[in-house]
Amino acid sequence: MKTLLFFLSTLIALPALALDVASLHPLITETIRDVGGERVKVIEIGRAGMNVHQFEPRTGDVRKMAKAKIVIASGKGLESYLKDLKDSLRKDQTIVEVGRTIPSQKVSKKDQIYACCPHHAVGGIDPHWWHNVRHMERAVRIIQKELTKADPAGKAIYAANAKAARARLVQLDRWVKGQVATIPKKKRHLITAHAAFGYFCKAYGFDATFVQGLSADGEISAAQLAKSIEQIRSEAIPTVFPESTANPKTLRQIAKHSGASVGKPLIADGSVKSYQKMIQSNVTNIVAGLRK
Amino acid sequence: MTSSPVLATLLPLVSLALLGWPLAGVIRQEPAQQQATEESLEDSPIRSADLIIRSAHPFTSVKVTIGETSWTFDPEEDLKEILFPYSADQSSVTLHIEVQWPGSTPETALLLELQPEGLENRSHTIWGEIEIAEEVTFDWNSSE
Ligand SMILES: [Zn+2]
Repeated sequence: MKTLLFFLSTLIALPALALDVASLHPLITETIRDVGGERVKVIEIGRAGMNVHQFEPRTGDVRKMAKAKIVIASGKGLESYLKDLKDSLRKDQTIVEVGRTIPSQKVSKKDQIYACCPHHAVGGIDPHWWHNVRHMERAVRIIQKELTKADPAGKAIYAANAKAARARLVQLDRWVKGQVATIPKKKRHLITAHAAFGYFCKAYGFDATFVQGLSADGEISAAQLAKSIEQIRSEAIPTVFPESTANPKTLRQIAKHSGASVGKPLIADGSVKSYQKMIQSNVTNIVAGLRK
Repeated sequence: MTSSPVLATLLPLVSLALLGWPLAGVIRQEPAQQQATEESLEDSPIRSADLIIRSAHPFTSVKVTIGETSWTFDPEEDLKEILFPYSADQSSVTLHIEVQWPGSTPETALLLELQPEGLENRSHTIWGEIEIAEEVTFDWNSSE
């Protein structure tokens, strides 16, 4: 009898996996894990390394999502397939778009020289909200609320985990501001390939120019090229930044003719496992390039 | 190996199915729930927000009032979910803030931040000791 009681008590003590949640974006996966801890099982649909602008779930992915009570997307139009996905899921499954309540920025004409795809067309809502660290803090709260709604018994655990995650992000935001402060004000002009850094530039006080699309053969006109080169020369911008997922051809041309150097690549689309490492790597590379 | 015509037709189909094809053709069931759109958020006369405080020293109480509604933070609280009236025409909200610190606290700072759905964060720092009351208006009109 004692053995039986002991066995039963160990069963009760085991952390209960109370909730299955599907994630459509790698940064969302990490955040669900941070907030949900051992109580939540994450079904990873969008994985690190994927092309976030072109990914679409396949039948196998939809099958995997069958167990999920909530399906969490990055939102702001990034997952253009959400309407179709909604039709393929059950009525008791909820799709959450984290970006929905995060303040939006539009891709502006001032910043944009070349539009590569609908995600980056002028006037469209920029989906790359995660480059403002404070927005990621909001994402933590949004996910905390959704997990609590789906699993009220886990409320205290989600609240404690979310509080710790938010504190880490406040620290990270302070670190970014401290790093940016080391770049002379007139050199805070970020020139990158695709229009992914609008939220970063606004949050941390940079002018922005995005010169090239995502497509490998994204050619820009000679006039546009000349305009970029002239701007870099007149502002004496020391460095332009390629992206880990975009063709650096145009940027190299611009650098060559303007006398700027090509910096270390930035990570734009958050297709990584660690948000903190992505931000630290981007900021370190930007500071090294612009402080010159 | 002899090849049957049925097999020849089925094989590419089976391999397609194994690879999985994009979502559009998947069998329909009752659709899942989806939240309201960003546009419907913009029209709403009531905004949901996180009201957050960060204090350099422990406080006794923080009371925030918007219009007729007040929220009081206990010493261990740093966040409250609030609803407040918001019109896109006015694009602003006025908060009345009352803070109390224990008598032994030196002059200190308390940061109050509002994170409304769909609107940028707004924050205000209050400097004081023992007891202080202040009014602050957060505005979303200015082109940021
Ligand atoms: Zn992108």
